Amino acid sequence: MVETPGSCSGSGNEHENGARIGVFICHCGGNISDVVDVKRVADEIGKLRGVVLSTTQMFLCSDPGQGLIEQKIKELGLNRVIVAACSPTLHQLTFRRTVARAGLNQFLFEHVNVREQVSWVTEDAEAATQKATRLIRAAVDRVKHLIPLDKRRISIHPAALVIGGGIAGLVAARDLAQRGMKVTLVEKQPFLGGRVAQLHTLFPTGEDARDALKRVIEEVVSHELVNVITNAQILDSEGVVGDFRTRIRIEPRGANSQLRQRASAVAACPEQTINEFDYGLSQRKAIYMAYPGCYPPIPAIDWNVCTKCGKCLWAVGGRGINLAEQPREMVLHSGIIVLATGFDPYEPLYGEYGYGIFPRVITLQQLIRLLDPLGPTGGRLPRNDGEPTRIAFIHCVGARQIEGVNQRQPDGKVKDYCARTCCTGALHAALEIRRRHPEVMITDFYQDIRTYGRGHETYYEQASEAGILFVRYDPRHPPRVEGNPKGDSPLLVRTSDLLTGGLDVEMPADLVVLATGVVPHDISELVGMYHCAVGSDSFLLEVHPKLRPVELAVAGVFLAGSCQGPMDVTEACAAASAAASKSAALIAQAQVEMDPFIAKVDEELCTGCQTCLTVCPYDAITRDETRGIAVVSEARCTGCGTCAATCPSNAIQQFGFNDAQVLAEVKALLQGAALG
Amino acid sequence: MSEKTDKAGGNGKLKIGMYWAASCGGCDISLLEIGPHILELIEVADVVLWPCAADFKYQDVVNYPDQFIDVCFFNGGVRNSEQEEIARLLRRKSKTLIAYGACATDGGIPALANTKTVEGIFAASYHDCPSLDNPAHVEPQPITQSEYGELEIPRFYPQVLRLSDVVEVDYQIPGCPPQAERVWEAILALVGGQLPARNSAVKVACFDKSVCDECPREKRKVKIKEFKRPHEAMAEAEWCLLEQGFICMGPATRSGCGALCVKANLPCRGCYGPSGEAQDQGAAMIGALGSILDASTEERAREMIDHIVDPVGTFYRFTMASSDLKGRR
Repeated sequence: MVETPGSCSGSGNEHENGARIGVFICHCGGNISDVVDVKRVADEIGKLRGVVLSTTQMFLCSDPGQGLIEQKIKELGLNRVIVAACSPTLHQLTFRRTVARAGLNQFLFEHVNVREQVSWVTEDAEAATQKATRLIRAAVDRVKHLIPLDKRRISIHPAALVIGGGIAGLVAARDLAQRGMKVTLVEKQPFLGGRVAQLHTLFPTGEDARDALKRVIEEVVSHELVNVITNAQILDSEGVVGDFRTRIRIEPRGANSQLRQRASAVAACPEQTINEFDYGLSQRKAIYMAYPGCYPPIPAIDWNVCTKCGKCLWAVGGRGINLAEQPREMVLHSGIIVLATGFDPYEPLYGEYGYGIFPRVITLQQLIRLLDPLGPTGGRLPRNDGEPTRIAFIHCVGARQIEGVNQRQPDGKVKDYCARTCCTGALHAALEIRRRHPEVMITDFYQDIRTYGRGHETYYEQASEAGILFVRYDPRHPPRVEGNPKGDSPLLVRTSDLLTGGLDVEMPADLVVLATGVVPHDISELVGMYHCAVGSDSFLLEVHPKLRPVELAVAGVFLAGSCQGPMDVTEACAAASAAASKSAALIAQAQVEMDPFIAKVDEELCTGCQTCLTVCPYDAITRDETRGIAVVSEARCTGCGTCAATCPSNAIQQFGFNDAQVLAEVKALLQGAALG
Repeated sequence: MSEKTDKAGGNGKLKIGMYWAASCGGCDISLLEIGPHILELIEVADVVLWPCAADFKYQDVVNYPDQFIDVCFFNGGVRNSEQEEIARLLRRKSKTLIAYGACATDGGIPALANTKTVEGIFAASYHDCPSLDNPAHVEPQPITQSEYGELEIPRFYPQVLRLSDVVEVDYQIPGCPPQAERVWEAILALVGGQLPARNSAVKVACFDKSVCDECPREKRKVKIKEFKRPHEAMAEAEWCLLEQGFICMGPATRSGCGALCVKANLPCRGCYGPSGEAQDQGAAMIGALGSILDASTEERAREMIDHIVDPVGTFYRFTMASSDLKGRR
């Protein structure tokens, strides 16, 4: 497309405060000018006081477009620039740089959105033209009050803290270390590996989960830049991006690397407890190794169970076990923090699909443990009078729940989101059963099959071909699991099948597997500490799902893996790598540049009434006790504006959005508007 | 009380005046509250107008030469045509015209009627008031024909205006009433020529910071659980009244009074108007309140707000004429 010179007008009048405003209106190749009469807008705006130039251009973001802005700034001595074009999220930075190249402070620029908010939302040319004029007129009045601002610069301590030693935390730590960053990895449990260690094989490749995990752990612990701390929890954290200080408490492990006869120590322990690793399907000792090949390869003592009887100590001759070991505290200094706190499988409520009432109703996680050759039964399914011959899977347990249909959770909500991993996970397990026991009859009760991932659909195809029977239930009438009075199989699953037009189905089952959803691991303390945004599903919320997918709104804190939402291992690893790249990029800058739109306290007006301290969501305001006034931490302030809006004495103003600027804008917007 | 000065002045003393318009008379009394200082004042100044205290006639003022009065304190807002006429007259006759007290600076209590129409005000005052007996439904008319001829009374304005809405004002002294100590300091500054440059926006005899600056109470950084009215609960003496749930206008109110009300265990009513450069006192206070409610749900917030009786009278008690609301149009 050929660039056409636009119309050009301007009152030539300098505003009384010396503002010489240049207004550039973009055609966006017709995207704007097909609806908005940009020439008329330019003429109208050109009549306004202070507007030295009002012109249009075919593509302002193009090189000639930006060149025009630069040239006019220099030629006409413009000291305020307005670009009316697309959304500021797209090109605000582009034009700020243009303005800066012309030697003008980049914050003496204002971006007006006349595309997404005007031309794209209406076909009414007259209304669009008027709205564009009104919006630009408001910007003209606003820019008269703009003041030059400088970006904030904060130096970054070149070290990372990764919280969580599951697959996401491990991948993030590894990637950071491989980029030459110093990393501390903190895990709450005594052993690394998280949920992946509890899996047998991974979809969609079918590779051994623990092999994959072991490779990552090897890469992490062998790296000289990584310091792994297990059995540790976060006590508190202070500081801001570039300079976080996180205090941790390391629980005593009870055993150390000098312990040689590890199996003897475990065998000698007389105390038993439920083994959470097998989801309650087995028992473990008070001194234990979580799983074969776990890291660290040193047993740990569960102090809630240990009676300090000393039998383990006797068994190993006293070497390598210390029952009197004390917890330690330490402070970790880091420039950034990666949260990789993971998820928990959804625990069905008592009686939900017979769970808790019938022992043969188990969760998918339990089934996976049962299928694991290294699991509690050596890979055998539970026997009654033989291997089960009829297995029923029920999908969407604790996922995609419907208010009014499903029972509310203890938090008062229903789990209305799709847990994303259970469809493929359930079919993966079903196919494994089919491979091992071709005689077993498998029925799959589902709402929708969501094998959405790359290579996942194969599982559904294979399952269909392998004779797995699919029954589609209506989510408003989920299946019921009952005892079977006939006695050939202990359970009965009843529902009506939408695939056969609502035919009632009554399926006897020896084993019912609930494909349960996922919930975020309880990290409410960390949420408070880092002021994390949390979604309605209780998972942590990124700044923007597409544009800033692994960043929290709090600068310097990143998200890795399923703390952010249900993810399979592939996705969790990808997210972890993304978090690592973002963190590494930040650390590599050595200094972080931040927009100057932060709050500032007028010391002459502040009375220290502390209202702002109460409302600041980021703990960015403290009270200077000696002067009795509020002080804003420049690094911590995100520029949300809450304090400025709150301050009853008008003692807080926000750079870029001060009262004069906002009021001038609002007045201009309302000018001539009919008020009720 | 000083003697009447001869009309031409000329004894070298400062000539001061005090006038009342739409006000309660409290401002006149507050000037007397400077106590023994009144004697010092009389030494350097002659009172040439003070209808509340001495017998001056309209014609006396008309006969004064322009700029005759050195300092004129004008209290009360402008409710009717007579008050506007006198305001204009005094502007002409005074070198320095000071809006004195909340009514003159921000409309004060009378300006709360700006939320009503003239018909509504007349209905309340002449028809609906239970203590009235007005069977003929008579209302005051600007012009009335009577057996003595045509009678004229001032026209009633639809709005109470601030003095600065009518004439140019040199200084503002806020407060209902202004506190004597501050006023005396301002008079001394005036006599000594130490007041800042004249500007109708300049408030004197007060400070820029909010009342919290003078308040001795402790902040505990808690959010407000529920609103209470002063008669509904006994306020804890040492603790911030706002945090206790009493709507204390202190944070949004200019200081200068010495936190008088809060020291008497009563919430600040906001009589000194907005602090600093804030324009709209009620909006400032509502903005602050909205952020410190301990309400997790919208319903709870609504419940709490419903407990605020007369929000306009609470948040704009003294500043309706200065507010962005401006009352009923």
